[in-house]
Amino acid sequence: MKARYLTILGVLSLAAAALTSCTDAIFATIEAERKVATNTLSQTISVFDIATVAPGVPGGPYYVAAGGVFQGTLSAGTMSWYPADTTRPLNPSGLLCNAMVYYPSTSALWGGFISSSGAPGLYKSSAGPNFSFASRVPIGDSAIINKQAILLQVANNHLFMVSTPDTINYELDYKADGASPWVAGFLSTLSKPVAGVAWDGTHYWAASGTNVYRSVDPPTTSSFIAPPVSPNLSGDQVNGVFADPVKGYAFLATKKNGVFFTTNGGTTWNQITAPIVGSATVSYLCVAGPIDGATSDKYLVGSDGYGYYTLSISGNSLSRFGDSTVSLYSESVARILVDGVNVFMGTNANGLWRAVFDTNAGALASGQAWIHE
Amino acid sequence: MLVLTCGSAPIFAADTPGAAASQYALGDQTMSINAGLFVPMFLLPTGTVLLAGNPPQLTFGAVGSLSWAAYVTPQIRLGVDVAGNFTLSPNSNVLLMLPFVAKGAYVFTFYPFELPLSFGIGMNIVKYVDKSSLDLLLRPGASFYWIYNSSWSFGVNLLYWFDMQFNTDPAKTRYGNFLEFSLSALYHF
Repeated sequence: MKARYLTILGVLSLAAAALTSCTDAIFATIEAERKVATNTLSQTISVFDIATVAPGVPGGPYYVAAGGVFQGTLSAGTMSWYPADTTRPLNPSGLLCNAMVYYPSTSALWGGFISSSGAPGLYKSSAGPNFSFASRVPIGDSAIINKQAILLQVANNHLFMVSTPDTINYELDYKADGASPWVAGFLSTLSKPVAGVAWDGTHYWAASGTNVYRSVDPPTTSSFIAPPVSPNLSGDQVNGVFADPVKGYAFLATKKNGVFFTTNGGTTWNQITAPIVGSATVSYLCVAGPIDGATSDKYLVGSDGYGYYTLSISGNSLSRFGDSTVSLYSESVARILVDGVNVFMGTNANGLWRAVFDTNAGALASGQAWIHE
Repeated sequence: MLVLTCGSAPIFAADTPGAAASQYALGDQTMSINAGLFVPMFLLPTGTVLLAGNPPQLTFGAVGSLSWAAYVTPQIRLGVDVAGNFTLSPNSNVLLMLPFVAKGAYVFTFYPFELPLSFGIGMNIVKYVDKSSLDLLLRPGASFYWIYNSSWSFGVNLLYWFDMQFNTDPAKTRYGNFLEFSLSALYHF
């Protein structure tokens, strides 16, 4: 009897030993884990936009549209945020901000706001250095009044607004410079909102649903047409449009088919297919960069629920941010701002993240970690 | 509560057979349910103390288990148990362990108390964020029971968890050391 039990124990032990050959280094991971530093912004806000007032001059100040408008000042490696609560002193009274951009031609921030009753308004901030929308009145231009701004973007120093005039259709509106009136309907009666507008140094790019548009400069109401070759987006949806005007690259972040990019104005497209995580196809939301300075080989791609990926042009690849102990690893990154070495990532319902990158390596700088602002 | 319960043993003990002799024999079986505190101690070979720091690398956790055993002699019982525990990391990620252990125990009886010294070996399924691991677990320990009657005993367990997490990269191989303090209800049938 004893021998039988000992045999059973022996077999179980051998089985256990054999099974231990497949293992992740969990204890070593925990050993290296460090608590994420936090700041005063709510860690549950949804970030609609991140703007820097002095693009190309790293250090900000930075503004975040997340219902409230928040101003961030970077000093000695630490951000100070105003306000530090949810009172929204930088907003027009009673309104929530869902779109924002800094428009150099006007030396002001532009913001899309909406009231609790759904009344929309486009606002231009007060003059700097401390920009504010408080006590401002909505832009009265008849071309865009009563249209809800969904997205505001500056491309080639022109201001574009993705709007919905009736909550059913979407359109793309345009302002050439600070003095020009708005021109409505560069693209109009769209069934899907324009996912972004970008300038690659030669062309403007925009996308709505599965349709990709390219425009010459200057854009006109009829200039946004399909590029020479459109990527195969059947059954898909473009979630983000980005272009690098220095290198002439244009990127499309898609829901199902990964990231498409062109280095020749849309004559040919490269596709980096979306990876499968578990049983789900990774959906991408936005592209930004480059993060490796003049090399311009690496760009950041925000995903829907899988943190961010680094895109390599030369490697034609996407690699996921690998630190699963940081909650950013599994968050939806909807907006990315690369401002020199400072990288900001705005998430859906999980606040704003910031880190310092090494622009030679195109990765987190040595000794740096993500901060949950 | 446990002290009061044990202290009142002479009053409430329903069965009072002769001292020191086990009342169980080959074929008798036990089931126990256990719940208590899980204490992360340190990792080898790095010597990382898991409760050090603020926040610690792992917090105190909770553990629970179900155990079955059968007597092969009046003093020795062999069996298996399944347990589960969790602790939290600095970023509040949950470390889960689910071991399946084969164990043997030598039971010293000092009526109305018994002191089983046990040794378990088995596999430990460890889950952490997106990572999982199947480790070899050695688990020596001791328990102290008050024999309420011929069916029920109540007591405490002190178990040492030695979790061997090998890795193909030897630099990442770690041996986890943990303690379990748990309350136990043991049923004989």
